[in-house]
Amino acid sequence: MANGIELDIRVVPPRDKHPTIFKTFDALASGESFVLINDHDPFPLRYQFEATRNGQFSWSYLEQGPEVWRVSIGKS
Amino acid sequence: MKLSIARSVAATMPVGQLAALARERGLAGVELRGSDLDEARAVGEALGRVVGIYVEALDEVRSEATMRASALLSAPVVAARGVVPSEQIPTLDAAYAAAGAKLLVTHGTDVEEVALLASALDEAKARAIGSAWEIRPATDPLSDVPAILMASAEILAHVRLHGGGPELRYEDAPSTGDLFSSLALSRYGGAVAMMPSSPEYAEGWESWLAGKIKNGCGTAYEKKKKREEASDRELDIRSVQPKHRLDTILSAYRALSPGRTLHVTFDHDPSCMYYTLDAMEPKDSFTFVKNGEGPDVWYADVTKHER
Repeated sequence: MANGIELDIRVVPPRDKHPTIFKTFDALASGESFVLINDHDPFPLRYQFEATRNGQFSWSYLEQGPEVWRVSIGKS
Repeated sequence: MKLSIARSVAATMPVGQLAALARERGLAGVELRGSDLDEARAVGEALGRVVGIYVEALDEVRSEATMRASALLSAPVVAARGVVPSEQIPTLDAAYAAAGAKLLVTHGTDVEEVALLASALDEAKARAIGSAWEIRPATDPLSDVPAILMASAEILAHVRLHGGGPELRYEDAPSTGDLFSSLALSRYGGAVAMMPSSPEYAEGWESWLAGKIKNGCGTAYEKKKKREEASDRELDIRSVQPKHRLDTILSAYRALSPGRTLHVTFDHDPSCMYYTLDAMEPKDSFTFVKNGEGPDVWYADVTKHER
């Protein structure tokens, strides 16, 4: 299927959420992006990206609640 | 991927109410059963998106009424595993194509089964048939996920997930992170219909869907707040819904007296909390010590520095 990469993290147990997101991000080629879907604002994750992958990622909100947040996370 | 729910989440609830709750929950839609179609027709437009019509008998798959409903709702008919014999695939393909409908044949987490189905679907020249994948993460061999995604890359259009929802918070929730990362990276864009992994969990799902799962953590916290302001604090974040966790942690931390420690229990690696506090709180205002390496429980001790 020729779709973009969409990762709905709502279906992943809490202990696996961030590792799954970083695993998906790390598998991207440079210039690729994925859409992260969550049931709350994932801004703590952004701080973690800034601390561990500083300068390597872009972050833009496509939808901000109240039930669903969608963030496009790109790899530079 | 389009996160949805299956009818079995609340098998006796009116279809219209189920669809409305799914929407309020921010879900993409509902997978109905063939037996729901009359009720669905009565609900009409208010039903929202139907992501699939699940049928368990070959007669239902072949019925013109089912095909008409599929075309009308723009929803594929999802035939249960083992219901469609492969020799009938070309005939059904032609019939579904003529009706403007779509049929998906379900397979399990079984590489050989998927390979056989993929080669049978090669004969479906009208391309009105695809595949659906029924996953039971608690018992299926998840190491086969990459092979299955590769074998079904051209045909996969629907996923039936036994689990998710309120079951994610159970301690023995299977680790589905790699499964979802693989699905995402394969650019899967179809529905993921969640359902109880066993009938005994069904009740928990209905409350989850209705948003009735609340826990006393916040109220207990308010009561204890006064007493504990001047002492160390304990907070078990595992019983708090993910969407409320950060606010709960931040307000507990901010209510802490200088020199005191907040002991937090997590069901995930708390590094994200360190980075968040580091970004949001004044520089060098706290010490953060992470204890435990999981896989199920982690602890963090956050000490607020004296000013």
